Amino acid sequence: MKSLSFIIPQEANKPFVAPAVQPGLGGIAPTTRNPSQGRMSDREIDQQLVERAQRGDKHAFELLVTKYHRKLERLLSRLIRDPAEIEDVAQEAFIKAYRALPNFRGDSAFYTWLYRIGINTAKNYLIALGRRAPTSTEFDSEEAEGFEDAAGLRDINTPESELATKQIAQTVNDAIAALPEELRTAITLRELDGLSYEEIAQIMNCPIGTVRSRIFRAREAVAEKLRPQLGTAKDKRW
Amino acid sequence: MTQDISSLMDGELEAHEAGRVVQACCASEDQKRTWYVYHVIGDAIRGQALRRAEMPERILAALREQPTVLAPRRRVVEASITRIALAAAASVVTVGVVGWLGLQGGQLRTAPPAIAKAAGPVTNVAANVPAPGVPAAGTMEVSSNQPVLNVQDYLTVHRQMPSPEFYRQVSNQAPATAR
Repeated sequence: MKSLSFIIPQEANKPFVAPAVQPGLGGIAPTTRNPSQGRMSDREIDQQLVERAQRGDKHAFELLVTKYHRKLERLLSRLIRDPAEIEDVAQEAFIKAYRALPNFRGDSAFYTWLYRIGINTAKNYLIALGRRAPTSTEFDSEEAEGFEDAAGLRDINTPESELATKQIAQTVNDAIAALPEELRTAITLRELDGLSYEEIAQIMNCPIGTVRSRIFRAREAVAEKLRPQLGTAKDKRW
Repeated sequence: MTQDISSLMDGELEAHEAGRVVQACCASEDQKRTWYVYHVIGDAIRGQALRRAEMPERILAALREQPTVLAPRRRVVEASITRIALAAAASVVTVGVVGWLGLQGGQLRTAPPAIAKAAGPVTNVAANVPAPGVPAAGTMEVSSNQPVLNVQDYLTVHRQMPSPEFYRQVSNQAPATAR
């Protein structure tokens, strides 16, 4: 396979550039998974966690918190400027979501539901402080699924958090750059291009099991470097 | 197990495997950490700003203080079963009432032969219109034989009942009443 043009962005907020897919092997667009295949989509995994939480398993909701708190805080940073306040509102939103969990019926994706709770909590918070809350048209629920914009975030990050962000991004970049090529390709095609294992297997001309193993090994290699910075060393308890 | 968490995040597990991995993930602190770190790695690779990359320990601590939420699905199922049962019962009753009314209507429609049997004396009675105030014996006979008559049949039978003499008598008496 031709060497990938993997670019290591040194600025924390710059995304990686996806490797060019060779014409003869790929050009496959990320596909929506067919539910009949039996594989669980992201939404279905969330739904499973929600159902466990509804049956009294708090750990399941903790997994949802650790999955979405960064995303929710990025969203809230568009409404609230003070990082400490963002954290407070995010906490309140998660607690409200947990209390309201019996009412969640899965009509929408969990994050869409959480997004609405987060927006309403932030608006109420601003109103309570006598500040102007944004109108509903400024934040449509349709944004929820695709909200990945970090543009407004750079302005409000404290120097400390910005430094931490850069350090983490740097660590991840360095770790990925140090990976063997086949692992780097696999993880990049998965995380950046959102390709399924089957599509990656076609592109890399290897069995799906190999793709599964390569992605896992890539993640583990990066995680090994990242754990000390995140305070999640294996011997440390939450 | 960590490989399974990796596959779970990518949506590459079958439903039954995913259930098993989610269960294991919920049960172990190590697996929870792995889940968290893998998500941070994904965010970092995608260039999403990590406003706060460390564990949301404050949120998790606040969550642990909350009373456990219990929303048994069974109750929902029971409620929906009750709703369905009530709707079905209402439908059955409606169908029953409509059906019964239909059957009653059918019996009424089959009544004309019986009326036809009695048509002989009725016609005769209608021809011999009695004097006003005198009860018509033939009419009484018909009504006793046929207790159930629909309006159309009744009108058919009685269409000649008001005689010209009756109207004249009324008009003749009217001035006297006025006086």
